Amino acid sequence: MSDTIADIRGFARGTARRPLLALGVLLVLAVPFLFPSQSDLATEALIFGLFAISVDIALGYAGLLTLAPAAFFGLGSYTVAKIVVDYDMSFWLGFPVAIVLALLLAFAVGYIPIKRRIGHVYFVLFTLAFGAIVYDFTFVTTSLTGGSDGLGFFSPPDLFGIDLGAQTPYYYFTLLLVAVVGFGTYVLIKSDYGDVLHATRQNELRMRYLGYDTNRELMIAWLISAGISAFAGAMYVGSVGIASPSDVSFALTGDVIIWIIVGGTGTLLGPFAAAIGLVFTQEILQSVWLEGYRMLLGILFVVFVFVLPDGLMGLIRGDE
Amino acid sequence: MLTVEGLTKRFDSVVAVDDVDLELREGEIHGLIGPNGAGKTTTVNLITGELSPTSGTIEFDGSDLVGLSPSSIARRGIGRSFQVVQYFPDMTVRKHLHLAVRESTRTVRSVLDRGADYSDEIQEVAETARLEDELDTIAKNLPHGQKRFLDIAMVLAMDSKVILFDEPAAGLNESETNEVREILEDLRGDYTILIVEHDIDLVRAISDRITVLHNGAVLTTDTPDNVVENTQVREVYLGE
Repeated sequence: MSDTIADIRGFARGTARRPLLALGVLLVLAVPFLFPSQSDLATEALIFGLFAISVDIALGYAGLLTLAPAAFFGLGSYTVAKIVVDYDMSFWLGFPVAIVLALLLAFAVGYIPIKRRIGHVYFVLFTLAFGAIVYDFTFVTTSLTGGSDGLGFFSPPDLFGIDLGAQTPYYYFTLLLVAVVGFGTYVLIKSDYGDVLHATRQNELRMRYLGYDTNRELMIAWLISAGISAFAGAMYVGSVGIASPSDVSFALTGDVIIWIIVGGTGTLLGPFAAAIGLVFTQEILQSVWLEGYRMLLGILFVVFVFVLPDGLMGLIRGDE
Repeated sequence: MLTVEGLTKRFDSVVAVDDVDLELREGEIHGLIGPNGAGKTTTVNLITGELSPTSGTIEFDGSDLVGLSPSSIARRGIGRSFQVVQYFPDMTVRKHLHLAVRESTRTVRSVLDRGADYSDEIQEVAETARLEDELDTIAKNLPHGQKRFLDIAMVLAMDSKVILFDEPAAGLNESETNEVREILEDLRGDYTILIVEHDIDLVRAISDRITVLHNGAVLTTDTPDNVVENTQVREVYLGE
């Protein structure tokens, strides 16, 4: 087994690296032409990829085990839907409003466990409670959120004369935004700030005595994570046309954590790739066994973690 | 430079540090010794903000440090090492020193000056701490002695004015202890140093003055020779 893994690692890191990367980029660019019927799914996959990146900042780099990623994702989708459907205002206005709301709520949720230093377990509990509150909120405030029916339906507006309501334009629109935000996140993580988060995760005590305000650094990571999650949620509702309770569900939180573990925590690219791969895998499994596809996914996940505990990027990077 | 007056720390009914006065003069190496439980590390933890004193003042360059966080105190120029070496296992020695040298981590600035070059400062500190050949070594792969040097190097890279060394020779063999001694001698005059150490020979050899703690209180502060000759010190610390 280890020889096989070493062979795969050598292949992926060796001569095949650039061709594989180029092939991946070409494939992503050509999806609407090669697989037109899968454009919507590919759009969702890209958005979930960005969502996984955002959560990886908190979970993988800052070591903040959040159980509320879906709450911020759903906050983004519901905010845009509310502004468009109920207030008849601009789709674009929803994006900054969603991000500002996410930052405010993330600060409120994270302030006590992060800034007041009451321990990581409390951060988990706070985010768990916040996730549960947001999920229940969508059902008990029907006039505000549409209850179990959600808020919809609508299409994104034209942009520079291009109808974003159509599959292909929205796919490329999504691809552009995911590329820009994803690259921005990569630059941030590859700066000294990424090292600060990495070092803080390994030894917070030492960092504090080097003069770093680790509470502030962790809070910044948490806010960035929540903001990008909301941004991804805002893009998502533009794709599906409706905000529904599944956008804030713990099932989605479970999915994103699985994507990160499968891709490799603290690697950005790994969770992004895993999210895309698993969205399509889920689609295939649903076609095989609709009622039991989650069980099949679960079995796949267990086998994967057993074989590759460090995820896809761990396989490629080895002991790096 | 650093003046501690009436410093007291109580843990319920236990008085760990009892009305301690301590003055670190600019450029001196000051030893802090005492038997186990004398309050040495607690005193260091109080000065560096890990613990809050029950009463007393800690003044550094004219400002009171009591109530400040460890990171804030570190940024004001007080660095420390630890009894148990504190480092980042998966990072290279170079990355450790880069993080320590960097004066600010403001997120935006961190992105804007990604190419900031601290190689001269890192090289200088690495040479002082005998780590110039290990800059690209992952810290967890260093032998224990060099991990100690790394702990010292990080404090030097911060460009602190005052350095508190908490048992810098703990767990080291004789030759490594001698290297620590040489490093400390190299620092003489450039930094104000407080060294907490059980190795009395090391402390006696490098200290300008020594403070002896016993049961949380100051027994005496004097030159190394006078401290060693002090009858009370010989009774409580040297067991004579």
